[in-house]
Amino acid sequence: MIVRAIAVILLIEVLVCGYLFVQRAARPAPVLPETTLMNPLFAEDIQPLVQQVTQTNNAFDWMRLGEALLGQGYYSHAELCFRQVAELMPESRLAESRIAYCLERTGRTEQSSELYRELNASSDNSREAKREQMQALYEIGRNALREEKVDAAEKLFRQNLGFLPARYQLAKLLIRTERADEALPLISESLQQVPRSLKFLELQLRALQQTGNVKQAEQTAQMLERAQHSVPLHPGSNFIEPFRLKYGIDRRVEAFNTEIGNGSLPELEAELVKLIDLLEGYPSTHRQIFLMRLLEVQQQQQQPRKMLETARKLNEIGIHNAEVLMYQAEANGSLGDWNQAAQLARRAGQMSKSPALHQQLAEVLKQAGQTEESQVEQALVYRLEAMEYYRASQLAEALEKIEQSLKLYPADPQSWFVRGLIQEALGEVKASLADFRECLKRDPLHGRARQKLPSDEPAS
Amino acid sequence: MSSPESTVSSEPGPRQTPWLAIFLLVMVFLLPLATWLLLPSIPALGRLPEFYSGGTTYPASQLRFERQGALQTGVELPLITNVQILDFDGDGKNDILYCDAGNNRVVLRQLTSDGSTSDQTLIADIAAPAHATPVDIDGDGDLDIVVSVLGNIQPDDGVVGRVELYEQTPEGFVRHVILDDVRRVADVQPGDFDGDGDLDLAVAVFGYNRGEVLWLENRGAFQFLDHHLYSAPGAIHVPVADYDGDGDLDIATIISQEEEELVAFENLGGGKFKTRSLWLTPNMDLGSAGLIHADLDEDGDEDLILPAGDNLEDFDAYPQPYHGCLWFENTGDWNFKEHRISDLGGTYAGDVADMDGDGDLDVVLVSMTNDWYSPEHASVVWLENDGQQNFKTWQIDNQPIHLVTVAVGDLNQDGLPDIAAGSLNMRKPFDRIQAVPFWIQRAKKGAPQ
Repeated sequence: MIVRAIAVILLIEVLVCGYLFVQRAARPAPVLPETTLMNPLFAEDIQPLVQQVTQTNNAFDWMRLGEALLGQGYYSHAELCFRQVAELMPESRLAESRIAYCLERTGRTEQSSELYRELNASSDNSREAKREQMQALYEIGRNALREEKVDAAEKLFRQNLGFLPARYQLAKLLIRTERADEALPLISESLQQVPRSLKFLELQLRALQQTGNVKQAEQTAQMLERAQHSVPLHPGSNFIEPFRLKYGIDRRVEAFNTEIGNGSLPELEAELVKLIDLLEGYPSTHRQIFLMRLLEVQQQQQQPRKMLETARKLNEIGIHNAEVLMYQAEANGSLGDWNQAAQLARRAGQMSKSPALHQQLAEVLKQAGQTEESQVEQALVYRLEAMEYYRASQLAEALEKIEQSLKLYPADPQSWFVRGLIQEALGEVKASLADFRECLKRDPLHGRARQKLPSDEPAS
Repeated sequence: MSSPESTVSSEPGPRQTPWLAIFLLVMVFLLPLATWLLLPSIPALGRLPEFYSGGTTYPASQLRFERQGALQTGVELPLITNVQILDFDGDGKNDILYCDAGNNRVVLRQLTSDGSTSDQTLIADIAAPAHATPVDIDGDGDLDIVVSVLGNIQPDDGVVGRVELYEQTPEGFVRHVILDDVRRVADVQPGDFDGDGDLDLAVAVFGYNRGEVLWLENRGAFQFLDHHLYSAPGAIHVPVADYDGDGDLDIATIISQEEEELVAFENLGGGKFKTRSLWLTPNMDLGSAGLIHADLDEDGDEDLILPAGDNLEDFDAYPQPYHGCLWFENTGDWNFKEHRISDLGGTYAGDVADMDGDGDLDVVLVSMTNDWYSPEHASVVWLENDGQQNFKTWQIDNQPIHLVTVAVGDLNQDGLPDIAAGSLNMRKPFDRIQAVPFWIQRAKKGAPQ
């Protein structure tokens, strides 16, 4: 009797254990990119995640691995992870939405839209769900555009007018199909929400041109010059960034920025050297960034010889740009060779429109005893700064800077042109025209200044 | 009669050990334990759904091309923006002229008869050159170089671009800045637009969020007057040709940022142009990557060829089903009929030549963003024209990857068209790198050399 009882227990155990073995063996292993095609630091970082999913086959771990892969643009690999989450947790809307995103990124727009539609159909009425719905609807509309299904796209964007990017796409479609009159109110409403939006101003300009409203079109064109890109047209990708920053070299950079960024200069230098060493032996876009930062730290510590050594390393990896040349110039100057410094700095100046770099050039020239050239350079610095203020719509600051530039070097036609632009933006029509004329006096072939003058006015 | 006595003893005999029960009992304890111990080491034998790849691959080319040089082993990430094949130094042999936006220089690569190469920097310290246009602008018999200066290879909406003209003199190149304080300049092409006998220039200011197309009127002595033609961000190339066959030169361009549109500027004479929208697509992600002109169907008018597959706006670009190459057949009176002739993922550039010597024009394409995580995907292909403009795609190579520019020409003076390309390594994977690869076409066995 006892034997029988034990046998029954054992049999049950065999069945249970067998089931466990079969179930365990049936779990899938993640599909990863070839090791040689992954950044070694990323490969190292995801190893624990890979082991974890292999061991536990847990939905949460699969989701984390999928997000890590997504952050690096391994869309198809990530998709498989999210599919496994959906398999383990069929109710996971997040997994479905991630799959839809991967499908969209890899060009499977029809499948992606279908999944987004399913998600929207099963969504609840919460505020968060509403926002997600609008986002999904926009993605379906974008997919329709990519499939060149214009009518379907228009219908979808019309259903989604609360979502600014959808409103933009609709207005654009209306203008393309010669319906600028219908687009204009939509654009005006949107510009009330985002007054300096470059994208909506661009549309407004096209709509006004289409309706033949020349004067207003000119005003919009001026505003467009000072507009900002404030409406993201593919907001669906914004969620990726945090995943990217969690792994690989980006994780180390984040740590550097948050924990070490405020350290002393020698600490910063040591950490940067460590980061550069981590990249030893394989190509990476980060190498240049770290070396440039190292140059900056070495300059702040006044270590000219080290700066020259770092600049040489940059040259060795094919980086010969204005910034490197300027650091080399400053290093030479610090070592007492201001003539060589001036030569290098001039070469740097020739390649850059950065006010900061030209400020450095002005200072090097001054140190080299080239006072007049230094003044001309200083005038250029003010002009470049004026242009930056102008484009940021800070007109008072822009005017102040351009006045400084003209005071130092009135022979520069471009400074007169820039002052003309600023005056024009301030509504000082007469003053702006006078400036454009001054520009043409100094450079009769300045076509953009000519365009600003009435067409019947002879060029000087 | 007495019954026989029972012989069965009532005394207990020696007890049998219940081995079976013990064994079973031990197993009852051991089995869970063994399961607990062994379970973690069970391999994962399950399978995820099928892995998807959107990359494209084609049958191996019947024409034999041999890639010259080796893939890079160092850590440099070359940023080559343009290659051209031409006889720059006038020695009767073709050279490769290329723009290097990492080292910020324009380089001439010369090929010797033993197959070796030497690179000579013609112009240095030029900020992110996008294109170098060799042209005898001053009519003195040598080639000057007009450089389209981006100013920044990265997206930048600042006025960082320029057009720089390098006059060739016996002492070297003399720099003239002929257009300054504009956004990033991507292309400059010469042509006498106002019919005054000198060469003017068409300019594509790519910019980023804002851009424009201009033409520069040659006023002599390296002085140019700029004329605005069109405002739109993302003008890539400005191929110049007589598209309407009226005897003067017109300008075409492809606009590629957000709106993807083919635009032409019809030359009306006297420096006047009429803007004509030739084609546009609602697909804002098409990824127009350039524009070339050629009479592809050899019917006597100039067609346009559009490689499409640029998705550099994505941090991690991926080939899309609508990538490839579009041929716009000029059907007259400013009408251009669209034909899709290739689906190469991530197509970035093309060139036109009779690759197989059968008398019609074929097309060579390169890819920047095919699916590089599978090694078989194409980086260079040629499209064989059957003479009726039906094209069959042949794969020439699958490496190096990230190719953004291509040119066809005879590099070894054997009469067969060869191919040069350039790679722009800004996106992963940083692998299979070669800055300026070139492929020499070898004659088929038995074919006359």
